[in-house]
Amino acid sequence: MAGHDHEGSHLDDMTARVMAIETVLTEKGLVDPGALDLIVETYENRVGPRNGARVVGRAWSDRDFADWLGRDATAAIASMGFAGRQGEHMTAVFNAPGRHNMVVCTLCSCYPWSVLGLPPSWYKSAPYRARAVMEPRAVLAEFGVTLPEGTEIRVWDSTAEQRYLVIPERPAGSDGLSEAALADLVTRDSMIGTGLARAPSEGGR
Amino acid sequence: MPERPRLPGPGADADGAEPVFHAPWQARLFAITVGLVERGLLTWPDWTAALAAACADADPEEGAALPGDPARDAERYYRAWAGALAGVLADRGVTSAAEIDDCAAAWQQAAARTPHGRPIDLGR
Repeated sequence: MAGHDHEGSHLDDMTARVMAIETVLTEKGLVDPGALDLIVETYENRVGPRNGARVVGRAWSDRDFADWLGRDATAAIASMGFAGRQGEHMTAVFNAPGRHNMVVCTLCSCYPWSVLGLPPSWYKSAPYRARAVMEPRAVLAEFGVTLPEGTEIRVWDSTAEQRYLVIPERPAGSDGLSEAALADLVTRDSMIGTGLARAPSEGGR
Repeated sequence: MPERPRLPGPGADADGAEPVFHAPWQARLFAITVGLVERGLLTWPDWTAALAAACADADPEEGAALPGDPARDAERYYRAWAGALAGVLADRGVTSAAEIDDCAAAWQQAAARTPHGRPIDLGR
């Protein structure tokens, strides 16, 4: 032993617990640590709400694509290369004057990963899950969204079999913008329905 | 070495700076579960049912304001997730709560005898 004791490392409980689950499953041959690295890398860096923003940008600039999205969102989205886990059974819901759509998973956290990545923490939180259906207008107000009076709000409850992408209204003053410039106006929250697309005057991303 | 500026990639939060995962254990737990589904050990609907039950048990705070504290919400959510996964594994006879507890304790002991900066070796 050296002249002084090295201080040991400390693992917090959840870290140790998850390491234990991984160790046990790896020893049983049920988990491949390399495959886990790849899954984490995919959702940290490769799949996220910019995919969905590109879908919305195309829907705004291509009427035929928007129609396809309305009829068969899963196929229309897959045509842009956004398929894979939790991207099956997609439905696109279109905002319009007088109609606003908002998405929740009241039971847990079902969410269209292929176009939006993993959900933000608030989407998974008890208050959002409980209140989105009960009082959507109050929830929207807390997100800073006030809709014109008389706007109908439809709340869609996601499941493991059915997931929703909100197509926000195209902002005023965006005529003539390219598909890519339009996509820059689309925020993640606008595709969940807790936000609106940015106006060109607010600047893109 | 100067840190490289971080560019907002496609996985970055579109509206703020919330990380996809708030701790490495959350990412690992997520990946383990997705991996088990891909291996066919678990179907996604079965998993979401278990997760929903665990989330319902963990639900506090009626009427709390939105959006809440992301780190705290993520911690609570992934703790419920860990409980749900342990339950599912036990139900299917894959492993028991005791086996996981023992292995977690072994990791803690291995960490305690490992100096900072060195990889922790479970030694088994």
